[in-house]
Amino acid sequence: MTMQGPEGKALEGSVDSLITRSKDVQKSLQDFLHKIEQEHATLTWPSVLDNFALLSGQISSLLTAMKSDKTPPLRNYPVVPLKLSQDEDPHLLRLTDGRVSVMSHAEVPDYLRTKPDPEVELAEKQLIAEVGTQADQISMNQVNQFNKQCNKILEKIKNARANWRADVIQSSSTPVTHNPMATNELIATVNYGRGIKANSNQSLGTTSVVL
Amino acid sequence: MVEPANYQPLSGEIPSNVNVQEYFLQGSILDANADKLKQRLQGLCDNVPPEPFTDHEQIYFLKNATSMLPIIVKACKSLAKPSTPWQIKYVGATEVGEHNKPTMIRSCVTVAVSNDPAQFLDNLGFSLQSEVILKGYFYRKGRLQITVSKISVPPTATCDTSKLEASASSHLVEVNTTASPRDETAGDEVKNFCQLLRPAIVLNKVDHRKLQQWQ
Repeated sequence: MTMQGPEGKALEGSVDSLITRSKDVQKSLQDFLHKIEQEHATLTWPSVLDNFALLSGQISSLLTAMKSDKTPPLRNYPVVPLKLSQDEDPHLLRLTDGRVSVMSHAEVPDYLRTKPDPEVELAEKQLIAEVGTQADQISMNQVNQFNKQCNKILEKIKNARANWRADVIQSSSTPVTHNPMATNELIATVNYGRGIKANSNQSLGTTSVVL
Repeated sequence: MVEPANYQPLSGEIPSNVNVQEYFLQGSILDANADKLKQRLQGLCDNVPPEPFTDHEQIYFLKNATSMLPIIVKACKSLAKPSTPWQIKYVGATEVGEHNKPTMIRSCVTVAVSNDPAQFLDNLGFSLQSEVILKGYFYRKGRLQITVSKISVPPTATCDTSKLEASASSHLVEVNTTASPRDETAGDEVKNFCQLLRPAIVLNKVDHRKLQQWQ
């Protein structure tokens, strides 16, 4: 496959880098599979997790390489099987490390597939929808519970306020036992004769006591 | 004979510790609550039965050449115990004092006289201004004197009821003690006792100058 111009060069470069990254992933997978098959007795969880982490890192770097700006849009370069045959193809066998020997009707759809089977797709959709509704239900439940708690607290605060008001009213309604006006009047009357005028021609001589 | 609490030897040599300063606080209580106050006082005061009294007080004014305010002398006679002598009571101007002073202060001299002093006071230039009958109870606690009394108008006087509307339904309450002017503790003693009567009654300093202009 040869291409002309700068676009061809860019495509070649990016495909090369994709190939190296894919090979990294492949190697890691092979190592991991080997480990699982040969060392499953002594395998520890941390080392399994290390392998997973390595794979996940490599796959994500592969995806970033595919999405990077330098990579020309790969969807413009579909792979089309031009020839299908029931016969064994040694070239293909060598290319795929002995995994695929025949380019036949049964094999091609599995290897060149870009989308899952319609049934699988439907099942996946259903699963996603189910997860969504479950999350909805859970979140609805949580929202309801939260609202309930909020209402409880609000009610408590309102009650407290009402009680406090009642207290204030009670304390302010302690009966009045004195009248400041009366105090002033009484003092003015007793000390300075406010409101009471003595008849000056009268004297209390009649009640006097002679010693 | 036992000397009364407010005995003041005015004749002869005046001792330096003469009690001529009256420390006092005044207040009033509505008639409906007077009984409660009396019970409270009975509990707080010296354990002797409260002394009922009915006093007739005449208030004499003498125009003061140096001040707007007249000189005031009261002539008092007990109606409940006619055998007790008349009293003349000189009451000085009331000092409300600074905020940190616990009580009002006035100089006060009381002396017993044998006769109705009307003629005597008249000769001195005093004129009878007003008279009032005080009926109530007298309590004591140590040197403190507490009076709870109701005002009524004697038949010999004319009364302007519109000026006595509020006082018609209240008792006058007064807590006082006479002490030497140098006695710092007397005022606090009065104040502390008055605190015990809260909140039924709030005894406060009252601005007498305002009240005097009020008449």
